Amino acid sequence: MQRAEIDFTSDPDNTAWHGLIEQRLIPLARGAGFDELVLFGLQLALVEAVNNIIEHAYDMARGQPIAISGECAADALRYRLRDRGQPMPLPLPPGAPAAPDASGGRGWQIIRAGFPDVSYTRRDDINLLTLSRPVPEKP
Amino acid sequence: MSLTHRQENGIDVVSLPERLVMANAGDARAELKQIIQAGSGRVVVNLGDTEFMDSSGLAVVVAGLQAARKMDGDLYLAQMSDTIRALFELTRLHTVFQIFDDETAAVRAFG
Repeated sequence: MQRAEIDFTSDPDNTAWHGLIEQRLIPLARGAGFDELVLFGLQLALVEAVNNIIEHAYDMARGQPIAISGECAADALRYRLRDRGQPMPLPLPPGAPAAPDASGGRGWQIIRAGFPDVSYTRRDDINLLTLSRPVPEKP
Repeated sequence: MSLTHRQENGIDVVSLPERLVMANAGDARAELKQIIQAGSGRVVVNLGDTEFMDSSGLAVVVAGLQAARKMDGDLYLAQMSDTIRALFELTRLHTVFQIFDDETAAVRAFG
């Protein structure tokens, strides 16, 4: 099983963590055989999930810890996002399409399009969001 | 900041940056709105340089569209990559915007 992990701190004005996702986490998905369009969707979904942490869990505060671990098993690609911010309101948003001309509300749609299996737990003041997607069958 | 802007036959042609994401969307939104309100309301947004856009970036172009239509104008999109087009299709925004393969066609469509 292949694994990778990144950690960084929240900063609403900085996108250095985008590069960490692209360079350290997405190669797991590439190795699993996803095509470039799917890889773009996975990268985007991870960015949206981190945006949510920065915006909602940490209320745009700087310097707060965020960690993402990824693993690619025989059955699925999984990323686990951890933060110490406010708990997520439950139930998790279903990711229904926003009205076409709505100003926002597309983040969860993008997350769930990338990762059909999403779960959330909170333990010891740590939020754990797990995003999973079956891997393509090898020819 | 990261938008580039010129006028062509009374149409505002705006190019978006390589990445339009939460970190720069607020500034981009304000700048785009200012350009639109100072112009005719006829706008072409060129996405040819844009390689990555998140939902905050999408909100920028939606806000631009709303500002343009408020002035009885419109905002057309041009030159988007396959990945950006996939994002617009996923979020159904391709049903809201007129999308052109290139900037010239978008400018010409304003007549």
